[in-house]
Amino acid sequence: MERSSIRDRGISAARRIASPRVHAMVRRRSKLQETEPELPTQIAELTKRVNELESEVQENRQLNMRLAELITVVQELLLPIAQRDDKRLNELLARYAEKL
Amino acid sequence: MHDRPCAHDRPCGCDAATLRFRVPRQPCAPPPGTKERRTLSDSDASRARVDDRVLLVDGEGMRFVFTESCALDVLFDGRRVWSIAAAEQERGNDGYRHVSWPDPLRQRLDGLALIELRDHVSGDVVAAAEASFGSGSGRVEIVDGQGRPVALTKYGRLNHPFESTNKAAVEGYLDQVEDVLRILRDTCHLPAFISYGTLLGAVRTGKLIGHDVDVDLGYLSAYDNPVDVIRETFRVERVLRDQGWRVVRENGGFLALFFPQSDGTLRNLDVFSCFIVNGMLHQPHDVRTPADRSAVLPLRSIDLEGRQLPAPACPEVFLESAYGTGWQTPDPSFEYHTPRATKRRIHGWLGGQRARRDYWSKFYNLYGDRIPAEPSLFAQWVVTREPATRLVEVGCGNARDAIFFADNGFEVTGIDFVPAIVNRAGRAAESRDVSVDFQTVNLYSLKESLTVGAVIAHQPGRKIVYARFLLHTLTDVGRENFWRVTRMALSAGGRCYLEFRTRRDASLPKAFGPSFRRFLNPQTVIAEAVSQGAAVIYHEAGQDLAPFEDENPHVCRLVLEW
Repeated sequence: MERSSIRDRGISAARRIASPRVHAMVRRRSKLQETEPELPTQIAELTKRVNELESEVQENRQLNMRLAELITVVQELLLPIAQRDDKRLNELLARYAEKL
Repeated sequence: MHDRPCAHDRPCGCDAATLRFRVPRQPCAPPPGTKERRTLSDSDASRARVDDRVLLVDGEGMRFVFTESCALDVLFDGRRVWSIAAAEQERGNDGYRHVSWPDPLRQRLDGLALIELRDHVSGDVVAAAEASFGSGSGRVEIVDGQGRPVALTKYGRLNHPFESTNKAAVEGYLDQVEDVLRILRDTCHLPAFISYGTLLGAVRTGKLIGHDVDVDLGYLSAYDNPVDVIRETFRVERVLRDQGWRVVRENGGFLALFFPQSDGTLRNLDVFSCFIVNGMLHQPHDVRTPADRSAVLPLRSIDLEGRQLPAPACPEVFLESAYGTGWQTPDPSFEYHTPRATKRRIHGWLGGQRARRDYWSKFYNLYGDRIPAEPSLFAQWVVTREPATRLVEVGCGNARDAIFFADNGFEVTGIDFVPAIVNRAGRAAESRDVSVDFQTVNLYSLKESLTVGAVIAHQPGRKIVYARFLLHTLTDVGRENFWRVTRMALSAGGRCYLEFRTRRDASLPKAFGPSFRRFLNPQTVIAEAVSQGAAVIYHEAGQDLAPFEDENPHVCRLVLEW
C-alpha cells in the first residue's frame, strides 16, 4: 500500500473519530487564520501602543512636581519681590493686560 | 597533623581555634550522642557540620544545605551582621545554596571569625563554621571607622542597627523623634504618626525592631491631589529647617532628617506624606491600598519602648499594604516587592529629583583620594583670560577649582547637589584658609534652580558661570535647568565657561570605568546656548586638554557670553 494513501486514510480516520468539539475548535482556528492573518502583528502593535500610552501617562504625572514647584516659587519668591515696587508692578500688569 | 578538616563537633581532641582544623593521627572519639557522618571533600573552605546541615565559607561567600523557608541571621562571632531569606538563595549544580558576600561585607573580611546561621524566629543556630579570610590573624570586625558595630541593611549598606546601639543613645534618638512629631502636629498642624518598620515593631512587640536603623514617621495630608501634597511638603520642609533640623529632600513626598547622636553616629529619621487620591491611600514608596481617612483618623496611641506615640487608627491597613499578609512574622531578610502600579504612580508624581545622587556620593567616597587637589588645566586657563570677579562654579565636586579661583581673588560660590560633597568641599576650603560660599543645589529641581538663578542674578556686577565636566553628567532635565540657572545668573552680563566630554570620547578609556555619561555633540550644546541668548566667543575640541592618570578624554571647551 502506498504511503500517501496510508497517511490519507489515517487523517480521514482521525477526522471521523474526533469529537464535535474538536471539530468546532479546528473550524474556529481556521476561520480566525483566514480573517486575522495578521494577529501576531496586531499584538506587537498593541504592545507598542500600551508602552507609548504608559510613557505619556508618566509624562503627565511628572507635571505635578513641576507645577508644585512653579506655584511655590511664584507664591513664595516672586510675588513678595514684585510687591516692593507698586509702580513697576502696575506697569507690568498694564502691559500684560494689553497683550491679552 | 593532617590538613583535612575535623569531621567531629567541637569540643574534641581537635584544635578548632587555630587557623585550620587539625585532625589527629588517630581518629578522636566523637562526643557522646554524635552521629557518624561522611566527610566532605572541599579543601579550600573552612567547614563544620551540625546536624546534617553543612556550611562552607570562604572569601567569596557561603554555601549551605538548608531547605526550610525562613529568615536566617548571619552572625560573626555571635553578632548579627546580615540576614538572608534561606529559600531564595540560588542553588548551584553542587546542591548547595550559594550566597556571595555583599561588597560592603567582603571589603572587611580579613582575619578569623565564627560564622553562624541562625533561624531568626526560633533563635536556633542551624549551621556554623570557623572561617579564615585573607591573611589577617585577628578577629574580623564589622564596624565603622570609629569601631562601632554595623550591620547590612536591606538596602545593601552598612548602618548602625538599634540592637547594637547603646540604650542611652536610643533614648536620645527617641527624644528627637518626639520633638519632630510635636513640630508636625503643633506647627505644621498635620496629624503625624509612626509608620513602616517603627509601626511594625510597635504593633508586634511594643519595641523598635532590632535590625532596624531608623524611625519612620508619616502624616496625613490635607490634600487629595499630588500638586498640593507636594507643596505641603515644601512647607513642612521649611518649618523643619527653621526649627534647626537638617533636612534632605528625597522626593515630593519624602523628607530625610539627619541628626548627630550621643554615640557619635549620624542617624536619620524619615518623614513621609500620606495622601488619598481617587479612593486609594498612598504613602511613598510602598503603600497603595483602597482606604479613606478613617484608616488614619482618629490617631490612636501606641506603646513604643515605654513611650506613648501616635499611630494610625488602623495600623493593619498600612502594614498589610507594605509588608503583605505575613507582616506579623519577623523577617529581617524582608525585601519590598512593591506592585508596579504603586511604583509608577509614586515615582511619576513625586520622583525624578535625585538622579545619580547616590552614585556621586559613592564616587567621592571611593575615589575622592584619587581626584587631584590641584586646579584643573581648564581653571588655570580661565584665570589667564578673566580678571577676578564674581564666579559661580556649578558642580564644584571636591572644590579644587573653586578654591583655586578664590586664591586668585575671585569671589566664588560653589554649587553641588550632594550635601556630603558640599560639606567636604567646605572643609577643604577652610583647611586652605580661603573663603568660598558653598551651597547645595539640585539641578533636577526646578524650584531650586529658579531660586539659585534669582539669587545670583540679584548679586551686583559682572559674573562668570564655570562648569567643568558637569554637562555630560546631567540628564536632559538637569541640562535644561543648568541653562535656566546660567541665563538668569548672567542676565546682567557675563561669561560661561564650559568643558565637557564629546561624542568622540565615548570609546576612549575611562579612569573610573563606565558610568552614566551623556557624550555631547558640541554643536548641540552651542545650539542650546544660542537659544538661551548666548553668543559663542570661543570653541575648541580635542584631546590633551584634560588628561588624568591613563585617561586622555576628548573634550570640548566653550566660552559663551551674555
